[in-house]
Amino acid sequence: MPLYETVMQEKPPIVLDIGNAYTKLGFAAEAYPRKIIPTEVVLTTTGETKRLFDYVATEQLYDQIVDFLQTIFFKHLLVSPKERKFVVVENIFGQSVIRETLARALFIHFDVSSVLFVPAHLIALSTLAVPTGLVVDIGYSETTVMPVFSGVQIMSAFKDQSYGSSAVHDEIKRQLLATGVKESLLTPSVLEDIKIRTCFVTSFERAQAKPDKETTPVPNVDYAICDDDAVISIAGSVRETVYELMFEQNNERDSLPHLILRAILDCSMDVRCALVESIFVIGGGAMVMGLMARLKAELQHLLANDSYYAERFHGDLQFKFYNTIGKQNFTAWLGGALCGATDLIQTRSLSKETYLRNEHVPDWSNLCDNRHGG
Amino acid sequence: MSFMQPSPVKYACSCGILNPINKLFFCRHCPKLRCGFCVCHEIESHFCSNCLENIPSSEARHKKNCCANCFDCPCCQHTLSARATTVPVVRKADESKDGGESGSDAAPSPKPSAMPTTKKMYYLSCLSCRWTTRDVGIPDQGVATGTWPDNECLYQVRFNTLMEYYQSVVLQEKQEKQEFMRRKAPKQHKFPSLTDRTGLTVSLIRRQIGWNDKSIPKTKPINITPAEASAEVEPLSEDIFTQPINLRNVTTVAQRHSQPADQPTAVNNLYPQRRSLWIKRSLRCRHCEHNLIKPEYHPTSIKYRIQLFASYHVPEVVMVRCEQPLQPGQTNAIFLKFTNPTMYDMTISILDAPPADAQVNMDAFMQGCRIKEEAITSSPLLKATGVTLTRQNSTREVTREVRDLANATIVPLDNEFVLSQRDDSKEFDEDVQAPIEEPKFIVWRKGNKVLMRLQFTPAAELQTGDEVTLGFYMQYTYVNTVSNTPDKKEPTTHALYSRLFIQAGEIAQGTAN
Amino acid sequence: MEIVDTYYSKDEYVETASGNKVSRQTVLCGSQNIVLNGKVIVQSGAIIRGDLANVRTGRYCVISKNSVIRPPYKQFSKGIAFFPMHIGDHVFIGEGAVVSAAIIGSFVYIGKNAIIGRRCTLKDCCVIEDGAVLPPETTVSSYMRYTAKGSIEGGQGNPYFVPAAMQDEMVNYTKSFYEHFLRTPAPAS
Repeated sequence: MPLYETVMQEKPPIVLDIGNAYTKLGFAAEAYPRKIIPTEVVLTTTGETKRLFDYVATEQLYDQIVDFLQTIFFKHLLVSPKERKFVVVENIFGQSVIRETLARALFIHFDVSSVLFVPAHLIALSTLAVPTGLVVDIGYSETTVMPVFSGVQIMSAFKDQSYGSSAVHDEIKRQLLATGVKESLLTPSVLEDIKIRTCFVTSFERAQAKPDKETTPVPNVDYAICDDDAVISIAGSVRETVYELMFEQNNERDSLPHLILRAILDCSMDVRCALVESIFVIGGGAMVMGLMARLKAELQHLLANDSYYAERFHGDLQFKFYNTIGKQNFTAWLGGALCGATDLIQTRSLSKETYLRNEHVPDWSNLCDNRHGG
Repeated sequence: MSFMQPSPVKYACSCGILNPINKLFFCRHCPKLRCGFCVCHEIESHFCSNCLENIPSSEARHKKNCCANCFDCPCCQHTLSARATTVPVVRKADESKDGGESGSDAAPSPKPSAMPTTKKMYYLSCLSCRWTTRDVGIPDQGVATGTWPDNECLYQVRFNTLMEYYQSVVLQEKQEKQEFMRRKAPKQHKFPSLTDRTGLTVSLIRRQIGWNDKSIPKTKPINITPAEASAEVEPLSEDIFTQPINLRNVTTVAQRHSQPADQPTAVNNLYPQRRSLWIKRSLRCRHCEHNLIKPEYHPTSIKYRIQLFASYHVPEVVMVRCEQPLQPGQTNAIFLKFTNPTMYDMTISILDAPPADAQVNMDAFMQGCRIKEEAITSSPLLKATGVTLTRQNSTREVTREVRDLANATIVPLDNEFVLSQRDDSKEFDEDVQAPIEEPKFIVWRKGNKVLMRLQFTPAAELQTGDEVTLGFYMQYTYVNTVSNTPDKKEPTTHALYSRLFIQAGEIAQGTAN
Repeated sequence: MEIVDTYYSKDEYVETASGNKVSRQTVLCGSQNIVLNGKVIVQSGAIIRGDLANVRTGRYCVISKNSVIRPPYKQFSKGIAFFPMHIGDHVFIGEGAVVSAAIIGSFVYIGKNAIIGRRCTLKDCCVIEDGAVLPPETTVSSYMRYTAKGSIEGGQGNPYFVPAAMQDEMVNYTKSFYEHFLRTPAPAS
């Protein structure tokens, strides 16, 4: 093997996927992240914990990112960041200020050697070894849909909506408050626990059933809150209806199946058929029971019954879904790990010298960076 | 003073952040205060916090930063301990709880039974949540440590194939690009090559000698079966509508995340995880690349090899109390206790503004330190080989302005006062108050400590409940004991200054006026 | 903040020859097994169970009000045996803490209402936060801070959770606590 590859095996690049709720961290060429930690920072001045992306001024974000990265390096990964290569999996439609601050913290404060920013959707598809797919990422604060054809992201067909797991938490809170539970008991971690352990996406038939029709109710669950010794009763209806907000019918056509269909429609005609047969759902919010079955049922139903889609989709289309090889919440990380194991680290990363020339990360949306001939 | 409450006295570090003195370090070579933010953290050694075993870093990297012997309970993330039971080798398993610790300590006491041989079998159990390895079906092991199985990653093989595939794809692309560049832009040689002059090519010569043709093996991309999309999706199981779930059997988020590879949903799939290691770190000043803190290598040792804490070099200021309840606009006085931690007498003065000649002193100091560094690096032999011993300055951090939070005006002291040196033997002497002329603001003096009274006035526009903050500059003499110069010089004295902010308290509910 | 003088009345505390200041309102069982090395303060309400096993304290320790020092036990097939308890120098044990640790190192700060499980090992220079609960047999290594939530933070060289100069800070704290714990001066009459 050429020399550089043995050197790479000595110090594998670090792969980070900093999401809104959880951060996945690990090394390249490993099959799963070493740790999945909540994206929270313990402030060194006061000792309190707060979310990383909860900031007022950019300077505050910078300090929080520095503290967060320091915990990552010295408590979780146990490596020194100096002269190390990095792969950062990011959402290309995310805020530029976060990307710039992260790059500044890595290069200036931690003195890393190079950073490779990879788009999350594209790289997640690489874990399947297929070049085409419609990647749906259900995250904490938003759900994004990105079609990829032959290894190229069709950015004009990108769709996103601001509902994700946090919207589900709010819905649980709203429904529980309506049944009379005390608000102080419903902390974010309690809501998340309720959502993960008790809730699920109900089947299409039950969702369509008229409310007065007798359907067997889902059994209730008694949930004990540890710190408070209080027991709240979670009604069966709460368990099965909180995820309905993702499938709500409204005129704007922005629930999850609509997003998928509209994204497909925004692509040119030759790719649509391939995309229909390769839908790939990733993200932490996708790890809920019953989601895939419901999604498929909804998509088929919309195709058959909604006139807007029926006249645009022709032929006998059947939706096909890919299964992730690991768990869905770190599929994007896994793609980053695959990318970090190859030589792309050497050729495509942003090195420290290039960054320090004008302290700016080249951005796809910035014309100055993309001009031919400089 | 309590460890749980933040200290009201904060020093401004050289990077602009305010910190209490126990979080600050003093770089003798700069000479400036440094805090955790503006130093460079480096990893010193790895160790396990449970078995306190030092692990060399190469082994740590190999074992994925996990301890070989200690395990964490997957339910509550505390440490598991091995429990022993004696099992007779033949049939009737007579289980008796010995409750011993890890095998080497516990003295085996085989139960006198009809069976001649008994064996000690170990299982791991958690003492805080009562989870045991038997709950998940891991068989008991014959030795306490070393043989517990690790759960494997189910898709490791597929991942390896994907990795090799992508590596070969990228490599092939790179080679194609190199070929393309070579063909498009052939290198212009300065001198005519053998081929130009004689017409012989490398391949001709090789064939004449009898060697094989030289050719770079072209890597062919490994064929990989792409994933298949299927129309069949996992259906929702019907019994979710009928069967009540038992929350005790469903894992929580934290439990799932502790096993990132499989993230099981059922409690009986949780596997004990190896405990992660911890590190000891050493801190290094970014400007002069000298170590500020270097702990001892051994995990149980609390000593430091290098310890440049601020509390050893900079006078410590402790707030005792305010004379009167704080009222806006009302003159007040605060009692401050100064402590001199060094072996030399210190002269301290309290000022409103940074001293003018401070910058000149600072430059002279740094010049003195720099001379010795140039002496090392200007050796002609090193210069010839091109090796530079000074590391590239790794700081590019922009120092931020110290936020002036002071909202009270102080009355600077008329003259300076002297703090005597720290002398531990004086602790046992009787208090002899020498009748020397003391400035009026000194309340008492004992050894290297002085309690003095500083007058201040909170700003008039403060409201009840507002925090009153005093800010001032403290100038103190520091004796430089950096003795790296080849010629023995007398330690030089410099005047350094620090900026302090003291939170005096809140405006009390006072008489409305 | 500087420690203010706390006064105790002469009949409330007993001062021994080696400088230990022990309150009369403590429950000291088996006092022949309790060894207080010198300049130790045991405040009122504290319970030290020397009857179960030896308890040995270092110099300048502070055992605050209502705390319980109980030697740990180990269960054997033939019954229960209690093990001696060693506490190092300059240890501060907060109010209401229940301590069953086997070994406490020097320069340790234990917060209020902390519960230390049996046979725990607290190494030198560690901090146990107020209200923390340590499960049995946990080891807290040097310069680690055990939080009330149950997580361990810190490490030697980490300036944030446990002060790097912990040793000096605890020495100063316990010494000044001792020096400021004074007998009420007799009223001039």
